[in-house]
Amino acid sequence: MSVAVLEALPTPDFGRVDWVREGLARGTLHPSLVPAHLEVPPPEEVREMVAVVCGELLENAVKYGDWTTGRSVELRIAREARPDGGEDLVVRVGNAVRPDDPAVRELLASVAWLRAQESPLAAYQQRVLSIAAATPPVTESRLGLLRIAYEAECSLGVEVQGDWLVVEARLALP
Amino acid sequence: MHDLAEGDLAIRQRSVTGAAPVLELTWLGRSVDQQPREKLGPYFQQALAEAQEDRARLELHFERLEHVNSSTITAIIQFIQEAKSRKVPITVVFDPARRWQRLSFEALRVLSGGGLELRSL
Repeated sequence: MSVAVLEALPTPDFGRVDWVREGLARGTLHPSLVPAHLEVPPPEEVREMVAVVCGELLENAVKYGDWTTGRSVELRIAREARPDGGEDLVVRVGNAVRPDDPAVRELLASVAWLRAQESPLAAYQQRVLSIAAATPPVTESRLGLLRIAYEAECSLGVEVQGDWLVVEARLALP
Repeated sequence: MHDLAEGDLAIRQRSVTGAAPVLELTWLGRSVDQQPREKLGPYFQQALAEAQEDRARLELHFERLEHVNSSTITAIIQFIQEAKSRKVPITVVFDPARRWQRLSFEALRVLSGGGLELRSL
Protein backbone atom coordinates (compact mmCIF):
# COMPACT_ATOMS: atom_id res chain seq x y z
CA MET A 1 0.00 0.00 0.00
CA SER A 2 1.26 3.44 -0.79
CA VAL A 3 -0.20 6.73 0.28
CA ALA A 4 1.21 9.79 -1.35
CA VAL A 5 0.30 13.28 -0.38
CA LEU A 6 1.39 16.60 -1.65
CA GLU A 7 1.61 20.02 -0.18
CA ALA A 8 2.83 22.98 -2.18
CA LEU A 9 4.22 26.24 -0.89
CA PRO A 10 3.88 28.93 -3.54
CA THR A 11 5.52 31.60 -1.37
CA PRO A 12 8.33 31.62 1.22
CA ASP A 13 5.94 31.39 4.14
CA PHE A 14 7.31 30.05 7.44
CA GLY A 15 3.82 30.25 8.93
CA ARG A 16 2.60 27.76 6.35
CA VAL A 17 5.56 25.49 7.14
CA ASP A 18 4.57 25.52 10.80
CA TRP A 19 0.93 24.82 9.89
CA VAL A 20 1.95 21.73 7.87
CA ARG A 21 4.33 20.53 10.60
CA GLU A 22 1.74 20.97 13.33
CA GLY A 23 -0.98 19.27 11.29
CA LEU A 24 1.23 16.25 10.67
CA ALA A 25 2.27 16.05 14.33
CA ARG A 26 -1.35 16.09 15.50
CA GLY A 27 -2.55 13.72 12.80
CA THR A 28 -5.15 16.19 11.54
CA LEU A 29 -3.37 16.58 8.22
CA HIS A 30 -3.36 13.41 6.11
CA PRO A 31 -4.35 11.10 8.99
CA SER A 32 -3.99 7.94 6.87
CA LEU A 33 -0.30 8.57 6.34
CA VAL A 34 0.91 6.69 9.40
CA PRO A 35 -0.14 3.04 9.78
CA ALA A 36 -2.39 2.66 12.81
CA HIS A 37 -1.15 -0.83 13.72
CA LEU A 38 2.42 0.10 14.66
CA GLU A 39 3.55 -0.92 18.13
CA VAL A 40 7.18 0.22 18.21
CA PRO A 41 7.38 3.06 17.47
CA PRO A 42 3.76 3.91 18.18
CA PRO A 43 1.84 5.92 15.59
CA GLU A 44 1.97 9.16 17.59
CA GLU A 45 5.76 8.99 17.70
CA VAL A 46 5.92 8.30 13.96
CA ARG A 47 3.70 11.32 13.34
CA GLU A 48 6.03 13.40 15.47
CA MET A 49 9.06 12.11 13.56
CA VAL A 50 7.46 12.85 10.20
CA ALA A 51 6.52 16.31 11.42
CA VAL A 52 10.13 17.02 12.43
CA VAL A 53 11.35 15.86 9.03
CA CYS A 54 8.83 17.90 7.07
CA GLY A 55 9.31 20.97 9.21
CA GLU A 56 13.08 20.95 8.86
CA LEU A 57 13.14 20.17 5.14
CA LEU A 58 10.49 22.78 4.33
CA GLU A 59 12.30 25.39 6.42
CA ASN A 60 15.49 24.69 4.49
CA ALA A 61 13.62 24.95 1.20
CA VAL A 62 12.10 28.28 2.21
CA LYS A 63 15.46 29.63 3.41
CA TYR A 64 17.69 28.42 0.60
CA GLY A 65 15.38 27.90 -2.38
CA ASP A 66 15.33 30.11 -5.45
CA TRP A 67 12.00 31.92 -5.29
CA THR A 68 12.65 33.96 -8.42
CA THR A 69 11.52 31.08 -10.66
CA GLY A 70 7.89 31.22 -9.54
CA ARG A 71 7.91 27.48 -8.78
CA SER A 72 6.39 26.21 -5.55
CA VAL A 73 8.21 24.12 -2.98
CA GLU A 74 6.79 20.61 -3.15
CA LEU A 75 6.34 18.20 -0.28
CA ARG A 76 5.62 14.59 -1.11
CA ILE A 77 5.16 11.82 1.41
CA ALA A 78 4.68 8.18 0.54
CA ARG A 79 4.63 4.76 2.12
CA GLU A 80 6.84 2.55 -0.02
CA ALA A 81 7.23 -1.21 0.24
CA ARG A 82 10.67 -2.65 0.94
CA PRO A 83 11.95 -5.95 -0.49
CA ASP A 84 11.98 -7.45 3.03
CA GLY A 85 8.23 -6.94 3.35
CA GLY A 86 8.45 -3.88 5.57
CA GLU A 87 7.57 -0.35 4.65
CA ASP A 88 9.43 2.94 4.47
CA LEU A 89 7.85 6.30 5.06
CA VAL A 90 9.53 8.55 2.56
CA VAL A 91 9.46 12.34 2.66
CA ARG A 92 10.67 14.25 -0.37
CA VAL A 93 10.92 18.02 -0.54
CA GLY A 94 11.69 19.58 -3.89
CA ASN A 95 12.49 23.20 -4.63
CA ALA A 96 14.10 25.36 -7.26
CA VAL A 97 17.74 26.29 -6.67
CA ARG A 98 20.49 28.13 -8.43
CA PRO A 99 22.87 25.28 -9.24
CA ASP A 100 25.89 27.44 -8.40
CA ASP A 101 24.44 28.50 -5.04
CA PRO A 102 26.98 27.78 -2.27
CA ALA A 103 24.06 26.58 -0.12
CA VAL A 104 23.59 23.62 -2.50
CA ARG A 105 27.25 22.64 -2.21
CA GLU A 106 27.03 22.98 1.56
CA LEU A 107 23.94 20.77 1.64
CA LEU A 108 25.66 18.03 -0.37
CA ALA A 109 28.73 18.29 1.87
CA SER A 110 26.58 18.16 5.02
CA VAL A 111 24.84 14.97 3.95
CA ALA A 112 28.18 13.38 3.01
CA TRP A 113 29.66 14.44 6.36
CA LEU A 114 26.68 13.05 8.25
CA ARG A 115 26.99 9.68 6.51
CA ALA A 116 30.65 9.50 7.51
CA GLN A 117 29.97 9.98 11.22
CA GLU A 118 29.94 7.16 13.75
CA SER A 119 26.24 7.64 14.48
CA PRO A 120 23.53 10.31 14.14
CA LEU A 121 23.84 10.99 17.90
CA ALA A 122 27.60 11.50 17.59
CA ALA A 123 27.07 13.88 14.68
CA TYR A 124 24.38 15.81 16.56
CA GLN A 125 26.55 16.13 19.67
CA GLN A 126 29.50 17.26 17.57
CA ARG A 127 27.35 20.08 16.23
CA VAL A 128 26.15 20.94 19.77
CA LEU A 129 29.77 21.30 20.88
CA SER A 130 30.56 23.38 17.83
CA ILE A 131 27.64 25.75 18.53
CA ALA A 132 28.67 26.05 22.18
CA ALA A 133 32.28 26.85 21.27
CA ALA A 134 31.60 29.35 18.49
CA THR A 135 32.83 32.91 19.01
CA PRO A 136 31.03 35.06 18.02
CA PRO A 137 27.84 33.01 18.45
CA VAL A 138 26.60 31.31 15.30
CA THR A 139 23.41 32.68 13.77
CA GLU A 140 22.54 29.60 11.68
CA SER A 141 21.85 26.40 13.57
CA ARG A 142 22.67 23.86 10.86
CA LEU A 143 20.91 21.37 13.11
CA GLY A 144 18.02 20.58 10.77
CA LEU A 145 19.48 17.64 8.88
CA LEU A 146 21.01 16.32 12.09
CA ARG A 147 17.62 16.36 13.81
CA ILE A 148 16.18 14.42 10.88
CA ALA A 149 18.88 11.77 11.21
CA TYR A 150 18.99 11.67 15.01
CA GLU A 151 15.52 12.52 16.30
CA ALA A 152 13.55 11.11 13.37
CA GLU A 153 15.92 8.17 12.67
CA CYS A 154 15.89 8.80 8.93
CA SER A 155 18.48 8.16 6.27
CA LEU A 156 19.01 11.12 3.97
CA GLY A 157 19.49 11.47 0.24
CA VAL A 158 19.97 14.47 -2.03
CA GLU A 159 19.50 14.80 -5.77
CA VAL A 160 20.13 17.88 -7.90
CA GLN A 161 18.81 17.93 -11.46
CA GLY A 162 19.50 21.22 -13.13
CA ASP A 163 17.76 23.86 -11.08
CA TRP A 164 15.63 21.41 -9.08
CA LEU A 165 16.76 20.02 -5.73
CA VAL A 166 15.13 17.09 -3.98
CA VAL A 167 16.03 16.09 -0.43
CA GLU A 168 14.74 12.71 0.66
CA ALA A 169 14.36 11.38 4.21
CA ARG A 170 13.53 7.71 4.62
CA LEU A 171 12.15 6.21 7.84
CA ALA A 172 12.04 2.43 8.11
CA LEU A 173 8.78 1.18 9.64
CA PRO A 174 8.75 -2.24 11.31
CA MET B 1 12.74 40.00 35.83
CA HIS B 2 9.46 39.54 34.00
CA ASP B 3 7.58 36.94 31.98
CA LEU B 4 8.15 36.74 28.24
CA ALA B 5 5.43 36.32 25.61
CA GLU B 6 6.51 36.10 22.01
CA GLY B 7 4.29 34.58 19.35
CA ASP B 8 3.31 31.07 20.44
CA LEU B 9 6.00 31.00 23.12
CA ALA B 10 5.67 32.10 26.73
CA ILE B 11 8.31 31.96 29.45
CA ARG B 12 7.14 32.38 33.01
CA GLN B 13 9.69 33.34 35.62
CA ARG B 14 9.57 32.60 39.33
CA SER B 15 12.16 33.44 41.95
CA VAL B 16 12.59 31.12 44.92
CA THR B 17 14.45 32.78 47.76
CA GLY B 18 16.12 31.17 50.73
CA ALA B 19 19.36 29.41 51.46
CA ALA B 20 19.51 28.01 47.94
CA PRO B 21 17.88 30.61 45.69
CA VAL B 22 16.53 29.54 42.32
CA LEU B 23 15.39 31.51 39.29
CA GLU B 24 12.93 29.31 37.41
CA LEU B 25 12.11 29.93 33.76
CA THR B 26 9.18 27.77 32.63
CA TRP B 27 8.73 27.45 28.87
CA LEU B 28 5.23 27.04 27.47
CA GLY B 29 3.80 26.66 23.97
CA ARG B 30 5.93 26.45 20.87
CA SER B 31 9.07 28.28 19.80
CA VAL B 32 9.17 28.56 16.00
CA ASP B 33 10.68 32.00 15.47
CA GLN B 34 13.36 31.98 12.76
CA GLN B 35 15.48 34.54 14.67
CA PRO B 36 14.80 33.64 18.30
CA ARG B 37 18.01 35.26 19.57
CA GLU B 38 16.59 38.70 18.82
CA LYS B 39 13.97 38.31 21.54
CA LEU B 40 15.44 35.56 23.70
CA GLY B 41 18.97 36.98 23.79
CA PRO B 42 18.14 40.10 25.85
CA TYR B 43 15.83 38.04 28.07
CA PHE B 44 18.56 35.50 28.72
CA GLN B 45 21.03 38.28 29.53
CA GLN B 46 18.63 39.67 32.08
CA ALA B 47 18.12 36.25 33.64
CA LEU B 48 21.86 35.65 33.87
CA ALA B 49 22.46 39.06 35.46
CA GLU B 50 19.73 38.48 38.04
CA ALA B 51 20.92 34.96 38.83
CA GLN B 52 24.47 36.24 39.29
CA GLU B 53 23.34 39.07 41.54
CA ASP B 54 21.19 36.77 43.69
CA ARG B 55 23.71 33.92 43.56
CA ALA B 56 20.82 31.81 42.32
CA ARG B 57 20.67 28.61 40.31
CA LEU B 58 18.90 28.94 37.00
CA GLU B 59 16.30 26.27 36.27
CA LEU B 60 14.99 25.96 32.72
CA HIS B 61 11.74 23.98 32.72
CA PHE B 62 10.90 22.59 29.31
CA GLU B 63 8.55 19.80 30.34
CA ARG B 64 5.41 21.67 29.21
CA LEU B 65 6.91 22.96 25.99
CA GLU B 66 5.30 21.47 22.87
CA HIS B 67 7.85 22.14 20.15
CA VAL B 68 11.08 24.00 19.41
CA ASN B 69 12.70 24.61 16.07
CA SER B 70 16.41 24.19 15.42
CA SER B 71 17.09 27.91 15.77
CA THR B 72 15.69 27.85 19.30
CA ILE B 73 17.76 24.79 20.22
CA THR B 74 20.80 26.75 19.07
CA ALA B 75 19.82 29.70 21.28
CA ILE B 76 19.35 27.36 24.26
CA ILE B 77 22.79 25.81 23.71
CA GLN B 78 24.32 29.29 23.61
CA PHE B 79 22.45 30.28 26.78
CA ILE B 80 23.72 27.21 28.63
CA GLN B 81 27.25 27.89 27.48
CA GLU B 82 27.10 31.51 28.60
CA ALA B 83 25.76 30.49 32.01
CA LYS B 84 28.65 28.07 32.38
CA SER B 85 31.22 30.66 31.38
CA ARG B 86 29.72 33.14 33.88
CA LYS B 87 29.72 30.40 36.53
CA VAL B 88 25.95 30.52 36.99
CA PRO B 89 24.78 26.99 37.87
CA ILE B 90 22.02 25.89 35.50
CA THR B 91 19.56 22.99 35.52
CA VAL B 92 17.61 21.83 32.48
CA VAL B 93 14.39 19.97 33.33
CA PHE B 94 12.59 17.97 30.65
CA ASP B 95 9.95 15.28 30.20
CA PRO B 96 11.47 12.03 28.87
CA ALA B 97 7.99 10.74 28.00
CA ARG B 98 8.03 13.22 25.13
CA ARG B 99 10.26 11.74 22.49
CA TRP B 100 11.59 15.02 21.12
CA GLN B 101 12.41 16.28 24.60
CA ARG B 102 14.15 13.06 25.59
CA LEU B 103 16.33 13.05 22.48
CA SER B 104 17.03 16.79 22.27
CA PHE B 105 17.93 17.28 25.91
CA GLU B 106 19.72 13.96 26.53
CA ALA B 107 22.04 14.93 23.68
CA LEU B 108 23.02 18.03 25.65
CA ARG B 109 24.83 15.78 28.14
CA VAL B 110 27.81 16.41 25.90
CA LEU B 111 27.91 19.88 27.55
CA SER B 112 27.83 18.44 31.09
CA GLY B 113 30.08 19.87 33.77
CA GLY B 114 30.74 23.45 34.74
CA GLY B 115 27.51 23.74 36.69
CA LEU B 116 25.13 22.20 34.13
CA GLU B 117 22.68 19.61 35.41
CA LEU B 118 20.18 17.78 33.19
CA ARG B 119 17.17 16.43 35.04
CA SER B 120 14.41 14.27 33.59
CA LEU B 121 11.08 14.10 35.41
